[in-house]
Amino acid sequence: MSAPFKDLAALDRLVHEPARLALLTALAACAGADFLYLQRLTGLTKGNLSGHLARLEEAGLVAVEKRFAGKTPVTTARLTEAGRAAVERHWDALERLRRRTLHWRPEEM
Amino acid sequence: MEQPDGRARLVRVRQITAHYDLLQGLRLLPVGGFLVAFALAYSGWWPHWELDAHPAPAVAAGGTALLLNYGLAAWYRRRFGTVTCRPRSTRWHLLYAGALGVFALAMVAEHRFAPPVSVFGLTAAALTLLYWWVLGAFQTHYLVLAALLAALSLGPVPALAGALFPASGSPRVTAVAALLGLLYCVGGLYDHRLLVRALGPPPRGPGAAGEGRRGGAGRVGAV
Repeated sequence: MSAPFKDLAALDRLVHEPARLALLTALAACAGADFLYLQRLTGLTKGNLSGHLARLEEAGLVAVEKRFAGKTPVTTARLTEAGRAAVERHWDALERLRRRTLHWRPEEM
Repeated sequence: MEQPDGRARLVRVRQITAHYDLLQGLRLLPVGGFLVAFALAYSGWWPHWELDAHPAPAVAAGGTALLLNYGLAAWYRRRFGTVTCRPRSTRWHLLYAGALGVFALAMVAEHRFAPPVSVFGLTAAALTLLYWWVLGAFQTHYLVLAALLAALSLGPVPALAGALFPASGSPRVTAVAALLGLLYCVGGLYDHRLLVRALGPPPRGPGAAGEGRRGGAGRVGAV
């Protein structure tokens, strides 16, 4: 059986980055979440979270909506269809990788 | 310090987010408290409110519990944020309606037939177990609570209900209602604890939360 390391290197880095994977995983489990929830879930600073959401939005994986509730700005994020498909693909790839590494043994020299 | 299992952490992220509305455990406390208070009103331990003749105190207590529930929902939104949960499936709604039907039938059977074991209590225990399983089997406290409820339903409830709730027209139903109230309170506190531990401390300000641990990764470890 060939080594699974090529598969590991082929993972989508945009999705696989730990903070972004956590964000995408959370958003895949709901119809949308606000900034406060995502910040508390991931422990990211405001700047970091904004940066990650911006990257995901730029890639078309996430839609970010900004509005006002009274005088308070509210930012809400939700997965796009492309984002949902990307997350499912990524989790499938991780699961395949996990199963392969369970049975992989290095070849004898 | 050993890093938490990244994959397990992400599974927990998914579970917490998918069931965020149901994990707001403090909202169960007013409901649980109301059930316990309602049951205790039939205990004779304090002046019987004669609820059958004067239902106003019960209505007021129920209304207060409802208002507290709404108030706590707003508190959760302010403190932990808002999640729009995905609409639950038709299968979920059918299961929920079925469970309510079974629950009501068990209550009627308990009152009419007074079986040797409390079928109402056992049904409530089974439905608690079902709830635990349907949500993803990660709230282990409901396993323990269901087991306790089942154990009490097998012996103590049928044996002691009459003595504990002498003023009730259906002491066994009242006893199970009290136990359910306690289950809501304890289960709710543990749900809240689960949510608080998953979501971590509130953000303290720009550049504060999480930045010291892993650059850009915050609380979440690598998969």
